[in-house]
Amino acid sequence: MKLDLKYIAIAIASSGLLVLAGCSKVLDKDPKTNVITVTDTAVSVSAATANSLMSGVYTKYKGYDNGLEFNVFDRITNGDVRSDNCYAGGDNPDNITIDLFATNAVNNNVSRDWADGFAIIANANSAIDQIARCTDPALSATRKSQMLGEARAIRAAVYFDLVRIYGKVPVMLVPPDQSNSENLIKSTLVAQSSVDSVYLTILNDLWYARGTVSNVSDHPGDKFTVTKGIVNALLAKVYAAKSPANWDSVAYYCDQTIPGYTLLPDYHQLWDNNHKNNSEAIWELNYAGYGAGDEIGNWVPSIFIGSGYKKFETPTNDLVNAFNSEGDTIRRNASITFVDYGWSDPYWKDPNNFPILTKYNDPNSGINDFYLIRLPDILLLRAEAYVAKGDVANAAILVNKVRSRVGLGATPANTAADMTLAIEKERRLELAFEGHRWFDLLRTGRAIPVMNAQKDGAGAPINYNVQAYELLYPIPQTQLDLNPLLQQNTGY
Amino acid sequence: MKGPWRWNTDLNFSFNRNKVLDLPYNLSYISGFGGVYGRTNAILLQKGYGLGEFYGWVAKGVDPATGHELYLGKDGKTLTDAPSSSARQFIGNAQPKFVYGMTNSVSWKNFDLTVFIQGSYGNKIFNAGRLELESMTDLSNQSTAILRRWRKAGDVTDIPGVDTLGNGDNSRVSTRFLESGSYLRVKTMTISYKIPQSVVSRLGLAGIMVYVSANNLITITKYKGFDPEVSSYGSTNNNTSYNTTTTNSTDNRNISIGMDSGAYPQSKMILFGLNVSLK
Repeated sequence: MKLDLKYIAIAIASSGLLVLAGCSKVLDKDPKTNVITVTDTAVSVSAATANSLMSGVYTKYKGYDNGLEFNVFDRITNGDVRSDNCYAGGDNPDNITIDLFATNAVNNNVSRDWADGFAIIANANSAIDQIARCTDPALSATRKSQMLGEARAIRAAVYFDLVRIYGKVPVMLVPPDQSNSENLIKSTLVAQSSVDSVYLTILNDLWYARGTVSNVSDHPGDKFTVTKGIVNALLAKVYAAKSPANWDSVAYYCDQTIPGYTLLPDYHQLWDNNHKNNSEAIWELNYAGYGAGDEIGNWVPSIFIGSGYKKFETPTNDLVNAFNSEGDTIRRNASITFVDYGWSDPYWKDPNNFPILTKYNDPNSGINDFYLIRLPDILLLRAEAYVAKGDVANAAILVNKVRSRVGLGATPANTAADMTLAIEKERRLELAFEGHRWFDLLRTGRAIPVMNAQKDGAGAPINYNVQAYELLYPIPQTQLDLNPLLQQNTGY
Repeated sequence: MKGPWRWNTDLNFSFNRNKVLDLPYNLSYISGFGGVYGRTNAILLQKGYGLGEFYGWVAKGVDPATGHELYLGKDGKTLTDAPSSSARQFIGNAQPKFVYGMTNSVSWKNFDLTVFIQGSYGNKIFNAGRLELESMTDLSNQSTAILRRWRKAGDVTDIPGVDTLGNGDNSRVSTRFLESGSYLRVKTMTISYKIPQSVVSRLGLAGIMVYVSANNLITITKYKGFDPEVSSYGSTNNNTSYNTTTTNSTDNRNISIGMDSGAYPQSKMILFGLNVSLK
């Protein structure tokens, strides 16, 4: 036997040579950079392109990519789980930390709401930019400004959500400048604007939209397309939410909205899937089910209903008590069902009597619509505006209108303070699980006292211990890492 | 060469060194690589550093009093269970100091044995799969490591207590999940036997060889994951540095190296073969 030493020596020597060769010179190859697609800003798009860009904005706002998560599932989490309407339910730590006010900057919900919101905004920005450049005679000037108004209203609605969730956010209203790499980065990495300037941006978009979009009556049976009714309702909500609230404007825009709508006679009709785009719906996301083509199915109810696993967004003891103390069986039964699936938790200990959220009642075929805004929201907002001006009597008329539909007697409240609380409770019961409650508590300054007074089923304090900084979410850490101009919200 | 023995050895080493000299747009760093679900990104691309630089906190063990994982604070001295994001630092690199391979072929009469050994030395792997399996933030299955978790004040252990809030502070991207990725693996080993020509000729054939071949038969490593040779971001090459989404399935494979989110390991394979040559 003989080792081929010569061969080994050559092998070692040559590998040594390779090392030397590798060290002597830096690998000098130009990197392949990402191709920057330069859009020619002077070129007009066709009318057909403009139309498809517009429908793209709508699809993004309600669809699978971002809209369903942002506008339905996470809206209910942000509006109801974070408030006293729901516990997190389920087993997801992101939802549980939100419920318990233990959120940090890597919470997946916190991260994805930012990402979803800005994805919808970026898409709208691109569409607005291109539609504005359309000189195709096939697109009339009226229709063109309608489209721009619709897209800007959707953009405003998303910024309205973001500013209430995160506080200061970057305002980006044009697509990234792709003329060269330097401009691209400058236009992409943007610092946050103050809350006031975000609100100003929202108002600018809504004011523009108000002048151009079509009337409610132009769209019978369609409550998804942006109309003047939607824009007016958004304006009323924005003026109520910005600090300080402008109650004259709230009153004005409520009054502009209300005549276009009427309450359905039966509360249950709102949820039976046979009364879509009804007379009280102001802004409704339509979901036609998991059918063929470009139909979109609303998967969110499958997260709330069913026995396969412990479902999400469990109604709270406090909410059930609120329904019961009001004798409000119609709305309670439309919103909550007690089931015997065997699940229990420290809040609801009886596995044979566990509440689940059933306002959206079809977990299988994806046909539940979602109301972003419906008439009672605006009626009760108008009532608040009356109270703000000391007019308790007119406020009572509106509150009672909402109550009488569900078989409840007139509100006993007859002072401004009592009426304010009566309206707050009425909104809670009427609009439960529609993503409003937390944002109501936020704008009225009641979030901290209400949440810190929460009790569990046995009457023991839950001790959420909400601090002022926790009224806002943190800025997602991934975004802070990407964009050095962003600043974390105080306290996180 | 005398007698029936023959032995060939082929050996190679390679050393790869790289450094980020410049980034576009005058950026000093780009984040967004090596995403870990529900945590920060584990890899930072920074001027002056190499590719695959892990970026996170320095874990300093479990506080016996609280059961919380402690990390080095921003000043590099104080220990805290919730250090700020600016307390992160470079904690290791996914690039090996060198990789090597060796092929040995030994023949004796009609028998032939070929062994190919390969390995890597000095690289780190971020074991994101272990992070998930030891985090105790939700109801998902956990590894048996959590049996030695902290339970009561005074317990001294390397596994923090149950993260009742589920905010992941006990299992941040940190040195706790950074492991040595050095390994030596018997990648392939083949034993073959050529049936003697006299027998083959009698059967009217040109040649018969029988063999047994094994892939990934033996791996020597301290790495606790399934396989030190895999990377979870190995198959795509999209640049997502300005992607605003939080999912990282399209992370850049040249930068997000050494990330193991529990990627499926390479299989051990044993092949039995019969090779018949016709005249």
